[in-house]
Amino acid sequence: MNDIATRCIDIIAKSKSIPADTISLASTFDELNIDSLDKINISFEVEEAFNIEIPDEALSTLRTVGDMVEGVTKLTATTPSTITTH
Amino acid sequence: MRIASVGTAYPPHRYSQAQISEALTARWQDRMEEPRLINRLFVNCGVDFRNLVFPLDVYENLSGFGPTNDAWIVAAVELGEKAIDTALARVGLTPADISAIFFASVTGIASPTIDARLINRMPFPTSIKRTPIFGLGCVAGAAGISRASDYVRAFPNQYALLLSVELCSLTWQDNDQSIANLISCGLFGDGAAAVVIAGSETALAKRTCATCISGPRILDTRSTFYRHTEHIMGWDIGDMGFKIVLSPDVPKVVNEHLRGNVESFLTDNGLSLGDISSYIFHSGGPKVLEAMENTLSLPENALEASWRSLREVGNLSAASVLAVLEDVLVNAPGKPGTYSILAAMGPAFCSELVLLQW
Repeated sequence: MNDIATRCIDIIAKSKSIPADTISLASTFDELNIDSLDKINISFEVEEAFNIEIPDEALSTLRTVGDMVEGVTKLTATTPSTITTH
Repeated sequence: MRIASVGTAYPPHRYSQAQISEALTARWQDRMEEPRLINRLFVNCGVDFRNLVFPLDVYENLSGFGPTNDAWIVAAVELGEKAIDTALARVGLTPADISAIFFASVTGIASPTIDARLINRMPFPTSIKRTPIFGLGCVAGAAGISRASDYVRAFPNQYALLLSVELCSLTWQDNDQSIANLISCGLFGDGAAAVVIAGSETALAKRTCATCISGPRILDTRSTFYRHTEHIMGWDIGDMGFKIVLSPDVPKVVNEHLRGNVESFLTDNGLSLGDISSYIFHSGGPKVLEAMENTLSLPENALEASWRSLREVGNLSAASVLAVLEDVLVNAPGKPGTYSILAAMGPAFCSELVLLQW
């Protein structure tokens, strides 16, 4: 698993207070009991962590953690100079 | 008895969801840690457009319950009259033909009520029986049809009129940036709907002609009250007016109760879900409509009219299911003999089901 995936999973785990090792790229947000509001809160955390801006319309299309990682990967690729590493 | 006609009316100021989101973000950005939350919630509401009573820039000048409610009274009378005119004109009736009027709204209050003010503007008979209904919220469209049908069951040679006017934009709260209020501001729209209910011995109920649009017969109605669910939805009413109570558990309540209610209702009428050809459901919001689809195992597109209404005008509270009914009646009426269910849920929490036959 790459760094982006690991960091996304850590954010989700912290946000929902669940162990990170129970989350995989194939996990759906429904399975993780993450509703649309949770997804919005997670999106703000992900934006801050990666210094990206997620389009508002994109959230509703995300079904799995892998979808989110894929989206973050694309967004960081378009703004490579602004990626933070904390 | 029969649903003879439905007419809707919408205020003239039509905005995209993005325009409303932008306006409210500009208005509330200094009150919020993360103003982008507004648009992020709004894009998930299933709403593309809404009609509002006022231009967007007027709302920030409306402050306090009194002035806002005064604006509601003026607009509700004007919009209500248009909806009634449309509904009556479609079947060649006039206000003088109406024996009872039921008025439902939960977005403003008045005494004398809006129906009384309309009787002073339109030639209704002075013997008309009035039943204003406040507080049923989103369920009042379906419940209003039920109560009006109760009336014409008792007086089968008479016509009853149901009017619902909901001006949800007049309940926007500057001092409440809670998730519930933001979702409410993203979901609810303004509109009015009027329904003519014809007693079984009226000329309209008996009328048959090849070219007439013939509304469905009302076969039965069912109210179901869910005890101890007051926290699910409603208003906290204070100095600033109506502050939304909206629990994220609304879809859960739908999942827990709706299928059982519908099956029990249909069984009592000698029918089952497989006998229902179309569904006329309140456009509560994406989560509510998805819960309805899932719990009833509905075919794909079964609630398309409800989704379309949500996209085009938002959730109109009590008037929503009536707007969906108008769409079905005008554009996709059932084949003769087929059955439909009209349904809505609302504060209490509770549901109202109406069994229709075309």
